[in-house]
Amino acid sequence: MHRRNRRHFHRALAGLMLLLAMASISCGEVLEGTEQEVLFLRHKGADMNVWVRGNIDSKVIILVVHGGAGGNSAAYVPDYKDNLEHDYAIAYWDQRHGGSAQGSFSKKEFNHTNAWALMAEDMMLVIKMLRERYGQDTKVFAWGHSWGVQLGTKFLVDHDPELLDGWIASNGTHSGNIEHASRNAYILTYAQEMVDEGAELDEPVTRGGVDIQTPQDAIDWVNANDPITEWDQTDVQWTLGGVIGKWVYANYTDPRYTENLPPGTLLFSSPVSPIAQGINSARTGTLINNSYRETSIQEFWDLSTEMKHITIPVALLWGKYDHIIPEGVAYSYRDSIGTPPEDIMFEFYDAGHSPEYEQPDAFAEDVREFIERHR
Amino acid sequence: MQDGSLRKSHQRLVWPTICALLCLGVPLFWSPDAMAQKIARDDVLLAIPPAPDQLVLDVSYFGEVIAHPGMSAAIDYTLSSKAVRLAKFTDRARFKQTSWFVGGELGGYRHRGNHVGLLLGARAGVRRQTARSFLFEAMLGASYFHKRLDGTVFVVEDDGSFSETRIKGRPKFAPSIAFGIGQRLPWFLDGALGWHVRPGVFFEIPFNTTVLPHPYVQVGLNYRLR
Repeated sequence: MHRRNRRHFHRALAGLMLLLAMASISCGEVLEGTEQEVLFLRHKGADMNVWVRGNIDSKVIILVVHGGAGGNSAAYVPDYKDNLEHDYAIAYWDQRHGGSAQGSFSKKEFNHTNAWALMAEDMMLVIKMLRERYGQDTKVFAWGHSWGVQLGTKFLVDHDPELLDGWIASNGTHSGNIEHASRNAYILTYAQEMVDEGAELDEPVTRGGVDIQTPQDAIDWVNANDPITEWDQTDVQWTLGGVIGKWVYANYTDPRYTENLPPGTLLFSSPVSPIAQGINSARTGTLINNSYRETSIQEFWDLSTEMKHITIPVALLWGKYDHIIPEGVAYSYRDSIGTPPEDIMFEFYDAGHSPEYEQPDAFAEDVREFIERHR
Repeated sequence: MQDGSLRKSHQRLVWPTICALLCLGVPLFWSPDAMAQKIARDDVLLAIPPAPDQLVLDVSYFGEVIAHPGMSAAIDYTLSSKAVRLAKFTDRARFKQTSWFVGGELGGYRHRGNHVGLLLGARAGVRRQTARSFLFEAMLGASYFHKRLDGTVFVVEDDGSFSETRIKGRPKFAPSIAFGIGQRLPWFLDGALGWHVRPGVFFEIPFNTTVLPHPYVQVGLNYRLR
């Protein structure tokens, strides 16, 4: 073989081996080192993955009801794998058209008029499936975060709440209207603090003909837009809440966490599919989660009058400084359910939207206490 | 002084000598006539373009998003081929060759805990082989894609009970596009063997209410069967 050709050949061979070495890394990190199983629920066109990890022998399962809509459950694995997974099994469920969930169904079957109830039905079946798989004596708690609280509450209203041994809710809502009112209160409270301290907005809010340059402008806008009744108002309120929230986070929470939110995906970690997560998130956003549009299922609704028959133990574990679902929603949630006060755990953390991530030790300790009390 | 004048006279001879050699030598060895004779000889001996690959087998590592391992095999049949001789190679005849081909492909991979994919389909494309035996190719494909869930699958019965199902797959359609580079190894097996690296993407249709792209890379060897 000619020397130059041999050199080319060796380079090609080295490249080939490098690629194969990369391939051999093949997504092992998360699958190793913990007891786990991947289940799928096939229901009405969807193949929803439920990734059960942790201490399955504990006979206690925490079902993760992720945010979104269109988010993913794998984003919560880093929050739980080093603490709660040691004590309990955690079932990371990817909702229909969310996370790595697969399937084939039409958008007529999944739109803002029917998706919410359909997904609540999915949740009911996932709980039943977990008991089918791990025994009817298995205790099943569910933890909802953000949109997951809205979905979990819909399940509790539409189906038998007693299917769960307990419900843990973090920074999600049971009423779009109460969410709007609480966000207005949040903006008023902290914009006034900014005025008192002579702070400025990090950036102006100029949307839909509105021009908010200062904290005082923010106060004036809220006073002129309470209650929120129009879609355009939700757009401005959401943006303004984010700008005020930035100041609040910087002053009240640990910036290590709130400024660097979790990446949301575990690249190269089976069974996660980051591409599916991205596609599902974008598509679900278009179909049912298009904020400020009539096709959104997250505004202008109210379950608070239907929640009195919820009497199972409930833990409301809330990030106090969240501008997305402010603390006022937690008080309203507590007052709306029929659970006796002694079975309600009500905790706030110095955190924003994700207390499980921002205050992981305190959060896990409270979850542990709640489960041990009610298992 | 003498040494100095001698050196100067030698120096004076250098350039005339070079010029003389150029004037005499170039026509002698590289005259257009001599070149024409050489090309004519090559035309007789070497100017026949190599026979196109009629049937090529390729076997590859198939990595969906690189990391989900699998294998694929394909057979390509050349529909037409055109060879062009490159004028700049005067000492030995060289050709670049462009071939249009169609083929069939079978592949599979596993995304652990997510799904096992099986692809069976056809592809068509163009492949260009350079004078130095490098390959560049582009192809389009259309496959049946069988996507089988990699886990325990429960279905809900009409009475609300659950049963574990063995029918874990769903049929899908998967159009694809891929681009490849590679090289024939002319010093090995009489040039019948080559390697290729072929990044591509196939589209899973349907995926929920939409389409899911699956990027992949194929790394493997191809062998000229005929």
